[in-house]
Amino acid sequence: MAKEQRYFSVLTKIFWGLILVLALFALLKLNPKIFNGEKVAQNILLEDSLSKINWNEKDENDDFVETKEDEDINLDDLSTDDEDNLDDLSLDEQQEKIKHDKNEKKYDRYIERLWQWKSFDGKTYTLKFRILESDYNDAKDNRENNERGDETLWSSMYDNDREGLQEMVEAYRKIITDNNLIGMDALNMLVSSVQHKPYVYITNENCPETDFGQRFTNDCRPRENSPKGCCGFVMPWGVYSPIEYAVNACGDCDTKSLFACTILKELKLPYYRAEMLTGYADGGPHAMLGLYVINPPYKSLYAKDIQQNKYYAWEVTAPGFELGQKVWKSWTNWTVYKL
Amino acid sequence: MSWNKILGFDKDLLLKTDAKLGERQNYIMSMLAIMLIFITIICFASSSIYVLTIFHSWPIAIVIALFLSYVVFNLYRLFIMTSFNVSGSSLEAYYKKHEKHYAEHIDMAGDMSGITDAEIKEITAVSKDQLRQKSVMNASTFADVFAISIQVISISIIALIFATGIELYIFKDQINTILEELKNQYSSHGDTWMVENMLTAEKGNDFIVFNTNSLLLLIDLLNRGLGNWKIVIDLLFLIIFLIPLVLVTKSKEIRQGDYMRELALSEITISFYSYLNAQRYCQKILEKSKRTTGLFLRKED
Repeated sequence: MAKEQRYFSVLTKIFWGLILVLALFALLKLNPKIFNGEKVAQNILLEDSLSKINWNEKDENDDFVETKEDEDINLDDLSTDDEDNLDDLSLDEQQEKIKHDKNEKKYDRYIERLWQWKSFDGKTYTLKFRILESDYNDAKDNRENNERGDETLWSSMYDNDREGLQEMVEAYRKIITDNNLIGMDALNMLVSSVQHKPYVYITNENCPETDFGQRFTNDCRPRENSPKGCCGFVMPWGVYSPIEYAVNACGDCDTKSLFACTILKELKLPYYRAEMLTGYADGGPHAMLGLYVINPPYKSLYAKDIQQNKYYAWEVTAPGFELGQKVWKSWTNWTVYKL
Repeated sequence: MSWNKILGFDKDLLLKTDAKLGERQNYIMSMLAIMLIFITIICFASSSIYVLTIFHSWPIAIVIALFLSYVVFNLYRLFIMTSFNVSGSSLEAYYKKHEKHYAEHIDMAGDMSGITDAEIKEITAVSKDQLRQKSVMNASTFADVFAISIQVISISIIALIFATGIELYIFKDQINTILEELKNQYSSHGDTWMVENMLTAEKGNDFIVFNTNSLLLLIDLLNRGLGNWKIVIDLLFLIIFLIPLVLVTKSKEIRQGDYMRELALSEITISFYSYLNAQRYCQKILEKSKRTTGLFLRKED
């Protein structure tokens, strides 16, 4: 066959071959198994629910907050005798009494905090919130009495602290609604509030002078400049609980990630799922916030859960890092830990 | 049946060529015509899917699909026919300037008022044979970049639009399963707007192909379900739609074939025949006007 004829014949065969393949699939209903509809409905629901959140709807947790607010007013109505009785006690005795009277709540006092930070969009946000002193002490007790040093420690802290953080969660929710933040804007606002707080090394040993290339000083407070602050002998596992972080604003990778994860979980916004990520970054053990979202700004760093969902990593120890952004050169053995 | 007729293929042009080559040209044109028919069928089927999703009515779907496929058919036929040219061959100079051909066979300034019909036929037939003998069909397979770009872009857009309709049909069952799941989920979340407006048929009507009123939702589901495979399948459709155009513009059998030469010769000859006839009548009119008015009118070149 001449070369000219071959050109025509080959293209003709390709044409009819493709027509045949498509006709077989279309008419004989062959399933080529390339259509993966497993999570399609779920993802559409997640995205579509963005515009349909009824922010005014209160869930059952709101009742808890309201009760506490009511009790706050009742605190003013306490009889002078009651207040005197409390003042007569030493600090430890007060805490012990508050712990024993937790069910009654009437002796509870609030710890007030005001956070101010700049988000990725350059806008300054202010978060005013209160934590019940009894919840703070309870969180501290829970942390100190935890005997298991594995990741179940995080679950334990999350379960214990989530109710005590509801007023803070509501304060975050108010910022989101007041500023009409949707999707990544809301997430950026929240995570930047954690990133903004200076890194404080938390350890269950004596504070080192230097570690992983940074200088530290034995000062358990957020410090803007080097040397960074360090909280030593935080027993038993060198990590603060979410409520402790909310009050003290001291935290390193796992403390900050756990706090951010707790708030995100309690916000219950429908377009993400938040979990903890653990693994090795640049050779050392590290923890990060993990988010399962549809369209992260970066897709460089992620870990997969059992269902192969990609949880994108978010570095929360320093400002400026975005979701999924590559921060670490090496990235090994990263897993998703579900709280 | 001579499928090639739908392209405007004139079999009589090949009477003076080798029978075997003529048969081959006939086959090629028929094959192109059948390809065009299949592309039109794809457009018809795809349009039906789209219209059924929107209107849920077979009569409307058939009417609109017929109209759209007819438009695509004629557009594609236009692209094919305008690709038939002799650019790059020795005939190009004659084709672009017919006077060059006339001047080789007649005295352009001479008197043609006495020329007869038989003489005109003979002159044109002889000139056609001579031009055929000296012509070399080495037409270029590199078409005009601008023209081919317009054609490729237009056909690509058409291919991608209609590919989606066929893909929707191929994965109809999977998409309907997801729609069912969505309906259940939205119902359980109390989202009545979605269920009532997008996932429930109007009263008295039933869904025909897909269980939704929303074409955009269907395309979204298809894109999500197929992922990168959507691009692969789109490319297959793109290849199908572009093959006839590639054949017409790149195949030497067509570009340098006897049919292309005979078509050009035929057009030049018809033009020559008309020119001679026009000159004869013009000169007769000129003589008549000179006799009646006594004025001298100079013949314009």
